[in-house]
Amino acid sequence: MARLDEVCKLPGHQGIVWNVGWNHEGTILISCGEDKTVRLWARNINSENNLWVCHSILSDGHQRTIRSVSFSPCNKLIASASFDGTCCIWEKKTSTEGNQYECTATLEGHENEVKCVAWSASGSFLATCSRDKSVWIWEVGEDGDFECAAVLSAHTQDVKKVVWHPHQDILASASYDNTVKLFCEEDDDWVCFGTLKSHDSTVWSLAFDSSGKNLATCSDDRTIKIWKEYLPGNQFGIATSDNTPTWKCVCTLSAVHPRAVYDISWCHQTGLIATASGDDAIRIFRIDPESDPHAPTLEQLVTVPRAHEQDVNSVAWNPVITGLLASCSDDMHLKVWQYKG
Amino acid sequence: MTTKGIENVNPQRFVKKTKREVTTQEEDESVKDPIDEREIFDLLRDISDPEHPMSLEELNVVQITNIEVDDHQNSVKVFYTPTIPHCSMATLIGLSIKVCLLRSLPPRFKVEVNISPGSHASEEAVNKQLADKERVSAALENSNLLEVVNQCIVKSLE
Amino acid sequence: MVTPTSIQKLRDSLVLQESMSEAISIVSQSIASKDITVLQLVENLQPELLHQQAAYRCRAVSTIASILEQLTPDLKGINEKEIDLITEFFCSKLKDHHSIVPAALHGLHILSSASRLSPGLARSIAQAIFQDVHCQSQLQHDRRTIYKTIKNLLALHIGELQVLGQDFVFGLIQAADQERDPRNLLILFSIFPVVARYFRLEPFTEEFFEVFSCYFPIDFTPPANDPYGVTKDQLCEGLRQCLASSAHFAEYCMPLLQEKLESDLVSAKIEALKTLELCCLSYPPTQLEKWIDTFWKCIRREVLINVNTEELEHASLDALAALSRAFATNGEFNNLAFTKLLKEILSECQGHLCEPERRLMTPSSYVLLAICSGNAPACALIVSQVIPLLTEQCRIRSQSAPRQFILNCLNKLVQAGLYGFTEIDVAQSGIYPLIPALLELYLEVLKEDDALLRSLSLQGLGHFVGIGMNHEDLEKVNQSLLGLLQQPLTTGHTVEEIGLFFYKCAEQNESWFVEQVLVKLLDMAISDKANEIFRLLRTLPPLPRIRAQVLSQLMARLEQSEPELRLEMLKALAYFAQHDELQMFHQLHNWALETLKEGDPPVSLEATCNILRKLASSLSSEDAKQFINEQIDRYIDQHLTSSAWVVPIMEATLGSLDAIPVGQNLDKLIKTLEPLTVCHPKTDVRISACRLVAALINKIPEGHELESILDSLRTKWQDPSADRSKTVCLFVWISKALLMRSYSKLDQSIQELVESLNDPTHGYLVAEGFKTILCETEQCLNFDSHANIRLMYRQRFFQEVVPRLLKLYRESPSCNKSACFAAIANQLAFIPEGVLVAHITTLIPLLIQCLNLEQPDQLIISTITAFMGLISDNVSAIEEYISSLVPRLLTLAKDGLTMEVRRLALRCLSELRKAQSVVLLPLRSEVILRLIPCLDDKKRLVRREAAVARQKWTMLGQAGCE
Repeated sequence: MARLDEVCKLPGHQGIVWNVGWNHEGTILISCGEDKTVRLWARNINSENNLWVCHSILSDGHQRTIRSVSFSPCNKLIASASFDGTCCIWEKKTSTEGNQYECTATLEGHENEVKCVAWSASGSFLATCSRDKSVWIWEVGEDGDFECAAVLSAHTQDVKKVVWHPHQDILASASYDNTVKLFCEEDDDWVCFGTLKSHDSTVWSLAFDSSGKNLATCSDDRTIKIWKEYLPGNQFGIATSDNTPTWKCVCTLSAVHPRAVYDISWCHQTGLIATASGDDAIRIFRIDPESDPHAPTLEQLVTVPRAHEQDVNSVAWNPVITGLLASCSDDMHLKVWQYKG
Repeated sequence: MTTKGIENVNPQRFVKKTKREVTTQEEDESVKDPIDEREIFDLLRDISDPEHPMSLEELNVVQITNIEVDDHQNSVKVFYTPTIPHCSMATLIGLSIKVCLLRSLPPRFKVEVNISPGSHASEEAVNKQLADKERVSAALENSNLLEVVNQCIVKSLE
Repeated sequence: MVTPTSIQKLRDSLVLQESMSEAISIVSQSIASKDITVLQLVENLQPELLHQQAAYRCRAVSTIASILEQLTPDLKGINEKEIDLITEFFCSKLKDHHSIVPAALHGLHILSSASRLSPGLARSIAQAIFQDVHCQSQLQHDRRTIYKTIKNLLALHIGELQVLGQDFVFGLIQAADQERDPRNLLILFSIFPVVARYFRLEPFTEEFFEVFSCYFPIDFTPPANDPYGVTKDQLCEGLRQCLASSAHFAEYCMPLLQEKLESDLVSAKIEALKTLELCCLSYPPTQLEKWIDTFWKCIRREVLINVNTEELEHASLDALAALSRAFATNGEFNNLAFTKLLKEILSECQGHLCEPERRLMTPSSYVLLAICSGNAPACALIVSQVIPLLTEQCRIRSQSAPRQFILNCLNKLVQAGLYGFTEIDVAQSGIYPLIPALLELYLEVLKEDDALLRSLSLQGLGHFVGIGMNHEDLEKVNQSLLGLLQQPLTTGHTVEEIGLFFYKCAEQNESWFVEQVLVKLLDMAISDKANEIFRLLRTLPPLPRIRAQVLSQLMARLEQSEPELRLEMLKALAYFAQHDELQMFHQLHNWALETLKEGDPPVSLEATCNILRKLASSLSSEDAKQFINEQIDRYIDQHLTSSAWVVPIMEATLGSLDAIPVGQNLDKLIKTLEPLTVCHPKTDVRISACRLVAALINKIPEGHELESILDSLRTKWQDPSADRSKTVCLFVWISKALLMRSYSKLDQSIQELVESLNDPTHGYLVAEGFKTILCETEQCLNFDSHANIRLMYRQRFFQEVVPRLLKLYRESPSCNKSACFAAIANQLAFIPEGVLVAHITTLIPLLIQCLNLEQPDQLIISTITAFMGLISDNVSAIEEYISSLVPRLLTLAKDGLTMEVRRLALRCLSELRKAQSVVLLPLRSEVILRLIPCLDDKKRLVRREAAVARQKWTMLGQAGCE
């Protein structure tokens, strides 16, 4: 029987913890929240108990809640997005006193709260989204400059989350307007090439699988959905237009989450899907290998009912250490979990 | 305060409920008092309307019959009734109610604040906004909004 | 000419630029005593007065003015001629160098306050100032001197200034134009109404009006730390007086008021309405009638259409009442405009009054009542039309809520119709013909089951008592009420209302009330409604015949009654019992002794003792002595042998009399009581005996007798074999008795008290005794019971005790800390803030230590209560301790054993919000976090406090909360 064991509980943030993530080597855990700080956590080498401890606090970059934080693929840069309408870039400087992060750039342009920031897999782009309904794409210059490459106003309401495709420069965004939109670069122009409609309320988050051919979304409507990419001229009879792929909702899981689902993470090593929910629980699913790939079913492996004392806001699978999951909550804590199948 | 621009110039004033009487059970240390509808109502009744010098109770915006509490399941639902169906302050009133409850209820509770069905033109939009925890959090970092909300709540504490 | 030495000295210091005050006072004294003259002074100062440099001349003029100032108010030692000259002198100096003008103005100001100015001088001063001084280029202080001078001249010499006519008006306009200083404006606002009233303003009426109307409405916020304390209200009030000061202003003022009434600013509207109210007093109806429709439109909007603050609503209604009063005439409507408007308002309001389910009923009734007030013909019209309408409405409606509205409204109109005017006008108010129908309605409602409606009906009926209701009507009403009283459902509130109505009847006609009502009430007092009746009796006015009737009836019945009923009877007796009721005292005393038996005390004992105490304390000292002589032996030899419960009765009588037993009696009494004070098994008897002994000790004169009694008592309370928990009680009471009278060897007692705190088992009991020592006691040792009380004995005790307590606490580490804490905490509630603040720095750290979970609840509670008192009186005194206080309160709020501790700790945290934010902000996040568990306390009452505290702390430093 599968289990999700609590490895440790990490206090420190003074307020809601909004977002957790890992660096690409899986050695550093990163979090941010209402207390306007970004915290970096690493495994305590001296401890045998797999304990994680906070080793850096990045403060003074933002005036308000930090909503989202993300490591660059090179692991040297961190981007943070805040309700103060800006995005900060923090750079690791190695000095005699150890590793220090300094805020080296502030990206301004959004009219109000920035809700999410994400680096593309190639490291050449950064995407941000905001309550001002727009998605911005920033080009990362070689000298560390950030230049706005596109302002995408495809959504009709706040954009809650942006996520890059694991291999290509394709961006997916989730919004309060209940849709997900997909963007790609076409002749130096960023265009929206797909709108995924099926959720009945705000889409809070989304995650690609390791292949980038499947997308999982979660929503305020208490469902999660799996979407599959169908290329032009596919053999399954799924219509496409303008020579662009079609994304089709192939699975809807309802009646499992009793409240809003705030985050979803799709493990690229194991294929496990974790959800963070407003009912304080963390749940682990996988696509039933027996099921039809064009109409897959989700198998619920684990539920941790009171994973946190309040809403769970974010979950993230460690990209390297198999089955290691991080979560964070309104209860001001982070937790690290180990999945055992 | 100016009178011009006040939309609902002639609201009905309703009679106030009397103070909750303290029962012997409530004074008995050994008895656990469940959190009930009346307790939620008492937290909210004296919040004032952002536009009128009257309380939500006097305006019948909150009523005890429109509150649902389940102490075991940790759920509180408040349905409030704006004074008129086009009241532009509906979101602000809802926000004040929600903020008051978030600050004064144990965090184990899931608090839902909704407009009473059929009592407002933009019912769905307002409900969706109030349910969005991210927007509520952000609103509380906006000093203009926070000021209005606090002013509505502060009178209920006196 | 020889220069008098005093003047020479003055010149010297003038030239040397030294301090002049001494020289000035010497010279002014010389002038007052006529040793020198003002003329000599001026002549001798010629060199300075004519000096080339203006600064010298200025000093000289200023010096003369200062000398003059010393001689005010009647310019002692200066004759008329000299006054003429000196006035001329100062006037001429106004033409001198500009730097000299202030000094000359100062001189003229002094002269303006003298009543002895020769004819023509006042005029000259005013002319000189208006011609030679450009007021608005002077400094604020000098402008004020000018205004004050003019004000003085107007007060004392207005006739002369009137001769100046339009020149004066013009001069004043020029001087006052553009003034911006609030203090100066206040003076000007007191000048303008006088000028407006007594001067012909033509052709400058409009200019004059503009000089002040430009400030309307006043927009002024006093600066922080304003030393002069000019308030916005003062300025508003002053300006209002100006605007309303002359009917000639009406044509300018009315449009101005209208404009402000239409504005969006509530404060402007309120000012306009208040001004209008005042204008109605001074402007004639002919000026007002053109505007009356306009103003009604504005008032209507504020009262009937908008929902407004009470202030605006009141101002609107007051203005309406004033307008109505302005059109009041004797009996007739002779103003067409007002009559037309009145009919219009009446018809609109009548419409609203028929719709009690809508909001407009109440405001409409306010509008009509405002018009009624002060305008008899209008009132008559309104009363005669509206009362029948409402009576009808009340009949046709069946639901309670609208009928409550209607009755309420009706009651107010009845009151207006009956009491709005002098008696002559009541006949005109039109209410008389309506009375029968009204009475009928009220009586009908009285028979209904609805308690709220009944109470409204009683209120309405109450208005008719003594006016508009004949005996027959009154009898009918009283019959109904007596009937109502007998109904089983009539309780509580209704009984009170009936009591109020009876009160009015009784006041109006006492003998009629006694015969018609009281007799029947007393008859009913044996029924099953007896409790209610007794309660009602206690609300009647204690008039002589009523008192006599009640007392004789109750005393007669006291013995046969049920024990429970007796309590109510005794309470009624206590209410009516008054001074010098010697007979009643004896009667009750005997009765009380007879009710005693072994075993439990009679239920009525406490109530009986209360009355006995009251009666005993009011006996004359002769009666008291006689009582003592007759009674002591009986008490001790008869009663005490049969029941110990005679002790509380002895306490009530002997402890409260204006005399004490002496000689053998005293000796015998004390010897009898002594063993009871420490040994008697019944606590109430024992404590009562302690109190009685203390009351006696308090009154025995100092000397050998007192000493020997104290010695004997001391062996009792220091007896090591006795039960300490009982002896402490005696000790505490005796200490209290000695402290109150300021006994000469008090020091010893205090030291003994402090040392007793160290007793590991009973120290805490002694500390509790500190409360007894300082609190007011009902039974004895108070002013009523003729106790020997020195002022401020509490402070003296506190100041004596605190240093000793601190010494004990610091020097003996093993001392009983709880008892020390408690001894301090128990005193705090009784000590005036001023005394407390002096000791605060030493006490607070100690008090904060009391706030931990190991201490007894009662101690924690009294300590927190003490802190709350400090916070509300003088929070700054404890600000530096807040950071150590808060964490302790948080711990108690969460883990306090009793809900009272938790609630109080939370309330104290809420109260701390009164401290400065800078002190609190560093604690904010800790408090918000640690209060979370309190929100889930198992007790609702605790949660409520936690919610308030947490919200208050959350808002700390946030927008909208400072």
